[in-house]
Amino acid sequence: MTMPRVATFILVLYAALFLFADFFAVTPSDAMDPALPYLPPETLRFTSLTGQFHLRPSLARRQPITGLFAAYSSQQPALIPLQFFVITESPGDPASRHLRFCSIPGGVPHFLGTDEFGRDVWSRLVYGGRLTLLISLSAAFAATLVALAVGFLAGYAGPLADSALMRLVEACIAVPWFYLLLAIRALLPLRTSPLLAAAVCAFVMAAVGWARPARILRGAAHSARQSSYVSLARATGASPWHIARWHLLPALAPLALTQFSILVPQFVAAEVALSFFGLGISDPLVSWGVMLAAAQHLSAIVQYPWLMSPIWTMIPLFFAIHILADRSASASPLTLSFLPRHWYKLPRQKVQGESPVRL
Amino acid sequence: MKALFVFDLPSRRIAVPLLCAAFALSTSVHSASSQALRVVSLHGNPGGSLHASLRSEPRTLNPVLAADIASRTVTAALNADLLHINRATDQVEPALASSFQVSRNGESYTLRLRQDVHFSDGSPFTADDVVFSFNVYLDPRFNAPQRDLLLIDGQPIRVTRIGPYSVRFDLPHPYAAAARLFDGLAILPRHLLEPQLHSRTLADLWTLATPPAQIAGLGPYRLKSYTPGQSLILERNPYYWKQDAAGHSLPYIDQIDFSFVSNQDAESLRFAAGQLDLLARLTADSWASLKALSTAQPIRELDGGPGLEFDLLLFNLNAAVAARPPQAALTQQWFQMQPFRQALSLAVHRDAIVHLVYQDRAVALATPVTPASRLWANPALHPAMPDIPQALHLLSGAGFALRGNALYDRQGNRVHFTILASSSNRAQSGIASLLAHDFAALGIDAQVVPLEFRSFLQRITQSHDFDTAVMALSAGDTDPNGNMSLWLSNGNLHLWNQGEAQPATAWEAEIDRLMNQQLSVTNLQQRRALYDRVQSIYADELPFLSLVSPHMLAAARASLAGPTPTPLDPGMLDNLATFYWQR
Repeated sequence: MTMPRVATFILVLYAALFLFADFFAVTPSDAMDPALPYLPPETLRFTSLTGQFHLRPSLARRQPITGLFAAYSSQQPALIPLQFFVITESPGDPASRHLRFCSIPGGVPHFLGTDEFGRDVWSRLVYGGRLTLLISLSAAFAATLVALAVGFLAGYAGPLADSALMRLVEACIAVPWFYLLLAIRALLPLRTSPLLAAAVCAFVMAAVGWARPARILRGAAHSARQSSYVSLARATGASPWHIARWHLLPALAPLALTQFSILVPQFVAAEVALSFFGLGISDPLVSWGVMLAAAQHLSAIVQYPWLMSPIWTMIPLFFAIHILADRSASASPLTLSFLPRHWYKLPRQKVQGESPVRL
Repeated sequence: MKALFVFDLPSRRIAVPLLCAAFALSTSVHSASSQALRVVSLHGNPGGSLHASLRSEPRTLNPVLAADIASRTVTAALNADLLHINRATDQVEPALASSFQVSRNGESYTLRLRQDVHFSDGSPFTADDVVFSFNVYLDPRFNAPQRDLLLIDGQPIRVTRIGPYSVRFDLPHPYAAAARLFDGLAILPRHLLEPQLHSRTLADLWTLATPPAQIAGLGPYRLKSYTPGQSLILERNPYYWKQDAAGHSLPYIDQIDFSFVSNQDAESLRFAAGQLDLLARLTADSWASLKALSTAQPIRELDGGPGLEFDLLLFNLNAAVAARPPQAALTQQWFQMQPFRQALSLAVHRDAIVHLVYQDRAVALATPVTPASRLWANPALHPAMPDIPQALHLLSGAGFALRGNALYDRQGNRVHFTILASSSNRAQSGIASLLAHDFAALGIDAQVVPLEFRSFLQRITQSHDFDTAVMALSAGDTDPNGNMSLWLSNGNLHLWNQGEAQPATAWEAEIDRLMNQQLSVTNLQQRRALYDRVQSIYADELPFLSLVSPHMLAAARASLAGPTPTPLDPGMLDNLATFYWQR
């Protein structure tokens, strides 16, 4: 399997996980279990206590030691057989009724352990990933689009538009975002619906994030404009629209894709900072940023490393995004090269086919 | 940053609108067991050095101007006071004064000073130094933060030299717990400072740039060197006036190295690596990881029990808030109802906060008077246990109705509000999440809103644009006087309804009356009865919910004897002179 295929596979896997979050998560993201704080990840066993093999895996549940905080007995864990495809519901919360891929009788399996309030890390990871990706992908998409438009116009439309747009970019970079974020928070009502919170989060990220890529794209557009093939096209009477569409945009697209793939992880990290201002996601909603912010202390690293699981989940995801962005950028611009060949047409062929006619 | 207010800074400062009632009071004499300097019954080992840390560099070495924690920690080791509160018993004991006498009317304190005591530069200590020090504290030109502390009803305490080793302090009115005022007030060397004060301002004296030879105090240590950005080193004061039971001069430890470590995790790592001998402030969750990290040398956890700090849920009871949207008026209307506040209190699992947020190193509270004020907590009041049926009963009595999983008020509005928490404070954010979870059991939709600390503070103290907020407060003293600004309706920490010209309610007026009355009563039993009444009124009205009080935690090398966390400044380093290394 080639790298792009691996990357595609990873993306599809994550997409499935997040699209069917209610199925893959084992409990609502905010369901607390005060009896099981900081429970280490629970292991699966295929053998009974007497050593017999069972096809149905069992969950090895360690019992809390009474009188101690977050201490779990290491001897003789109770083996609880897993049930698959169960409809579960948290007590007193009809909204949490969902078909779950797996459950245990009268409880919740904690495959990735629990956090300080006994909330299931796996379920938070799944629900949090959904929100995080929704926010950071849409914010990165919006930021790249704006950056592409501004960079393109600045690089192509002439010196007046260039200097006007670049002053705008510089102004945007120079804005003291700390105070602006405080002001935005002060303008918003304290009580925000989850949808509004996510939208504000994405908007703020895009508003902060577009300026630097715009500068880079403007540089690329500028140099492409002065390149010999554009001069040639212009000399042959190509319309500005034609040059923009078939010469400049293909030159900028790989760069824009790379900028996009750089922005996504940046925005996941930025979400932690936004939560600090009260602009991000907060309880009962969860995101990877919220999970990471809660794990930013020594004891999480030393004692409860499973709280770091968003990091391990992010690495393959960002790897896949980078690989695919890189691949599409280098193979042929503005295409989805990881899809089967007959699913798309290569615009480059079109360009090659068209140019000789005009000559 | 911790969302923590100190009721009054520096500690034990008292905001005093005094009642002028004059009570006939009995004369009392407090004195040390003997005139001898042998004041400590202890046998330690002299020698060695101690590596401690400060979160920031001290701003000054001048005890009069020291306001930040680092400066206060260092100046506390360099200086001594006339009377000192024994942190273990919470009683005032003679220190540089060998005895003190209170006049019959409670307005005059006569202090007899120890003789043969020397400053750390070898010059003798007399009544002139005491009079000079208090003149510095009281002189409005110098703007000393302690000046407010020594003003009673706007009038300063008068200091008179009676003899070379005897001073009298005259109060304008009888004042309960006046002896506690002396704690922490450093006595300055007149011979070093007075000549310079003619030509220079106080702020220019004893800065970090001052050569160590020009600084002298009566404390167990004196300054040896200061390296900006790195460390501040104190050496043993050879003239220190305390001795142990065997007649050895204190302090035991020869040298204290303070290094500047700004971050708690960095501090913990350096402690675990053996570069620090002492961690002055520890959070409950870091202890276990510290233990896991320090494999080289044994360490021990120092648990001083609950301190003066406590976490609370503040209700916004401010009368008129112009900036708030119409929905907020509705929310505030609910908070104005006493049964609503009581019902919320009955929904809170304080034991869950103790267990999950503080890992069992905290106590549940009934009132803001924490167990650290051991003389003053009303023994008849107990923390509310969660009781959802009773809470729902109270709510239905006030016109609320539970339909399905949602609570509605009399007008049919869904009950929901926000809980503000400082986003940089893990404990308080955690408490807010737990509270939202608890209130859901009453059908209330409470939403946690984490805010950056300054905006958080601005909303609570300035714009009053909030519903409820989780925060921490800390009393300035174990004595009720350390809580004046919280209780009095015009106090600056009367946070639930700030800036009342007149008490807004009858019960607030009653609390004002009782608190002002206890100020001038010097009989302990009478004061306790008054303060018990204040706490009962609070427990009935619940203008805010006192949740839990975290333990004072610290860590030290297992072989270091002496450190004990205490609620009053300078905390664990209060008895620094008696620290020693076990062999």
